[in-house]
Amino acid sequence: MAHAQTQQEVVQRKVPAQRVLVAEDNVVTKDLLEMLLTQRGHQVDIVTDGKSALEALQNNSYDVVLMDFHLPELDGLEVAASFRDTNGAKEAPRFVAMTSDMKGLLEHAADCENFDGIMPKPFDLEDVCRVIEGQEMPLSGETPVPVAPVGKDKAAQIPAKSTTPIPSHIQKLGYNFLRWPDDFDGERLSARGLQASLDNRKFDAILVRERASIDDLAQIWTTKSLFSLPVIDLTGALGKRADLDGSKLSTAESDQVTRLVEGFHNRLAKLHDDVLLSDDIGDKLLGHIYLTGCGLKPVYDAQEKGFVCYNAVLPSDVIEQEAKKLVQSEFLSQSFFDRFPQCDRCQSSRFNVREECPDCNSPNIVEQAYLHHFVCAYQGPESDFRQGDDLVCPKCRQELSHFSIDYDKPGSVMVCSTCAHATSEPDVGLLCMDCEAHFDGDTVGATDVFSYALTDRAYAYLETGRALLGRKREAMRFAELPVELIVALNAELKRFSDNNTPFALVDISYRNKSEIDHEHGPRQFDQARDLFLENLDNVLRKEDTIVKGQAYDFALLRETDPQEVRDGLEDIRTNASEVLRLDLGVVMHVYGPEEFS
Amino acid sequence: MVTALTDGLSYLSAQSLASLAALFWFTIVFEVPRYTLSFVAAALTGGPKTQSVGEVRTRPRVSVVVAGHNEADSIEKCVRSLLEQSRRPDEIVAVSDGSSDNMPAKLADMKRRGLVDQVHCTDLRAGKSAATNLGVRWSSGDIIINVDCDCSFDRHAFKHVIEPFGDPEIGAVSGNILARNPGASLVATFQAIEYMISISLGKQADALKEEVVCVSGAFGAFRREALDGVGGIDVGGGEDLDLTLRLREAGWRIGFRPDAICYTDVPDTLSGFIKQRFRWERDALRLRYRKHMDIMNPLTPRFSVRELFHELDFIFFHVIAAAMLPFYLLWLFATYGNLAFSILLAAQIGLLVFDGLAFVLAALKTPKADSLRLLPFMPGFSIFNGGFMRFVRLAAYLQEWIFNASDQDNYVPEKVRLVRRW
Repeated sequence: MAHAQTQQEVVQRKVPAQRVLVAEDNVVTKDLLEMLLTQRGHQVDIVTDGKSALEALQNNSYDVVLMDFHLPELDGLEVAASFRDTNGAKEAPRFVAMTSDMKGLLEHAADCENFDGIMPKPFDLEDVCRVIEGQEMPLSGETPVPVAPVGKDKAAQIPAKSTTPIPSHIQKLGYNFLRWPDDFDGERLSARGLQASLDNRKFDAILVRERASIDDLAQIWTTKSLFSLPVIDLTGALGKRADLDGSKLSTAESDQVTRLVEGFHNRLAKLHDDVLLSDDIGDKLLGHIYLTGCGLKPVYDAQEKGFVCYNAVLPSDVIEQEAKKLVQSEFLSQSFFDRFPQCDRCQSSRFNVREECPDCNSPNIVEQAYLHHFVCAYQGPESDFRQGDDLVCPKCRQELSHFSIDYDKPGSVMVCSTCAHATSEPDVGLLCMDCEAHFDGDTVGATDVFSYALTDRAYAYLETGRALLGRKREAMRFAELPVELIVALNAELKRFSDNNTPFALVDISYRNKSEIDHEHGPRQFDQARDLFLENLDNVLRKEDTIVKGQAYDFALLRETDPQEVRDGLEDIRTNASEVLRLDLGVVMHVYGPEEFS
Repeated sequence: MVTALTDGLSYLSAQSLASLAALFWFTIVFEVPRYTLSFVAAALTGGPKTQSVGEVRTRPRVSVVVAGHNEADSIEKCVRSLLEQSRRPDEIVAVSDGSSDNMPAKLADMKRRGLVDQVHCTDLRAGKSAATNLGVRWSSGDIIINVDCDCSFDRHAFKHVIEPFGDPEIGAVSGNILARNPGASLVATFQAIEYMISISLGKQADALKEEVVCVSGAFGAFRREALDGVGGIDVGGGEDLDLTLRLREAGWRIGFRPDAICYTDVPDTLSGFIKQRFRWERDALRLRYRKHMDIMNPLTPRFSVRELFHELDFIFFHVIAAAMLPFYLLWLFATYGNLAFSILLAAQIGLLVFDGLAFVLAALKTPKADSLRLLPFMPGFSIFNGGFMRFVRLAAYLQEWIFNASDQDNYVPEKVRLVRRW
């Protein structure tokens, strides 16, 4: 235990949660910082102009203030100076300036005294963490040195959990690996990890260097898009769950790593962002199956309660649960793998299956032959007759000397050594190894295990995104919209809240995309789509904006009642589609201001 | 025929008592005493429930042992009637004796459903005796009730059959057996009457004389101490008679309960019936005069005056009566020619009176038997039992005496018959 605790302390390096004020007017930067810092466990307040920054500083106390140099109303320099003037030096938070204009800032060298640090933009996420948390981060691969507690000799003697060094033949491949535990930093995600999450294309694989349980690796699935990296297990402890067992990989076999990584990259290029960025575990699982290129396959694993694990670093029960749902929604097809008895109390399939006494369920039963002494009709277990080497009839005291003339063995009996009950039909009983519940062989429940493969529908979804499914049941997700649209939408929302000016957002998806891609090629589709948008632009008014997205396109109609748009939607669609040679299968949905609250 | 009859009657009416006795000596010697004892028994015991020997003070543990060979179809019905008992057995031990039908699986299923407590199966047939011994070996009761698979029981049969064990001298109690299928055929009907008179009424008389010599294998109860004392059941057939004789020899008293009623299917074809009786009579002869001969020999330590009586009873009323009948008939026809028919008829009429009386008594003693329906068959039974049966018996005795025919009975497996000593 002492050892385990020491280990945890080293790995997690608990950073005290900081109170952070971010003053930033750029929507994207603002969102990014908020996401990064909350992920790291900090408490973050965000303001978008200098005046409210000053107000927030007066009303609350902060550990760190992250301030953009250029802010509306008051700029960062003025805010810092003004705060220091009124409050003096005591208990002031650390002020950190962010700017892309280092030169401009440094020109006002005097004012810079009010800042404890300056961060050039675009900033490195690692730097942000370092500055906020005021400490060095183990970022670029140095293994944290385990600190043995002083005075605990015993604990110190136990070697700390060994971190497997990255074998040179894997390192030589030159891939950018996200390493566990190095880049995961305990329960929170390290900056490097976060970077991988935000831009996974810069990383090639996750390298597990220490023995880790499925739970330890949960972040792979809870963090956006990390599931899209193949997992290479250098410890061998993950077994078939990892995409590659690196522990037994010889130098000559390092091409397996190459093949794995390239395979993932190739398929990732086709994976739609809807799936890649989804928070839904079902989507992630689908994406993972897609990227592995080999379906979801169960493998026998005695460590697992259900006796199987799958080729994904996820708990088997989660996989089975999600897979079942995906089968129902026709994204996966299943084929039978095996059937296991299952404990209805704890869902375990780990049983001790044994022949046992029907009376007391003891497995301590011994088989004995029956002896039938012909002359006197005595029939009983052999032990009744045994006297050393001789067989003597307990009834008539005669010695049995000739098999088939004096006696024969008409059958056998199982005698329970626990309760002395005898039976020729022992029961088959199952004892659950996890909760010790007992079941009879003929009453125990069973569960079927399947292997899963992606259906055509799943392929279409994975490559075209939600457009395939239509938007009906999907709530509008702000984060998924193009930045350009978010900015415009923000402005409209503000106008709506200020003076109730309505607006309508139309999202446009193309039902026939995969069909056209298949029949005419993606180029044709793109041309048709562009033409449609051009037409649409003509149909709409000047002040309306059309934004081209990935799977969807959007039209923002200013000062318009959404209901009016809904009523006229069919006309708009027909007019815009008029000259198109291909039927795009345009589907449009209208959202009003109330749907963004 | 009619003239012969009237001639006969006028001849008979003209005879003196002494010459009538000379004429009907067979009937007087072999038939009349047979009934008298029954009448006495009936007179001395008021009703079916009077032979209560004493209350069972502590509740004994009762085990039922039922052994069968290829009885998959009948075993469940049998066990269900065991479970319907007002005195439920504490344990039911079922033995499949090398069955080649579905019986082991059937028993395992019944065990799972809790109908039986123990199930034991062997792969090779060992015979009823050895199979029952095996069941007894595993049973735990103080009283062991042995039943046949094809029997079913009255609700209170067990309660009644264990009651006599309150008397510590009682080693075994025989149940009362009635035919379940009296309407199946004429032969079955005759047997139903026979069971009523000879088992139900006859054994009551035997019990009175302390002469119950066969605790029937279909339904009997045994004190464990007694059963273990004599080493259990010996090789069959006729193992029920053999066991009872050995229990008696060991000093145990044997009881009979007419109200502990068990029903069994009797053979409904004449050939089936004759085959069964041939087996019974052969076994009786083999056991009494081969295995247990020395009971009657005053020079051996096994000699016992008590046993001498029933042995003489059997010799006289069964063996000699059967042997004498042909001679009597020969003598009758040789002496009286055509008149012999009238004499036989007259004797039969006289016997009918006795049989009628016995029937009424048996019917009174055994209210369970459907006696009213059997009544019309009474005269037929009288001839069947007094005439035909005697020839069957005689043939069986001769066959056994001369050919050891019981060695061919497949009732016990061949491997056992080969080494059987008697």
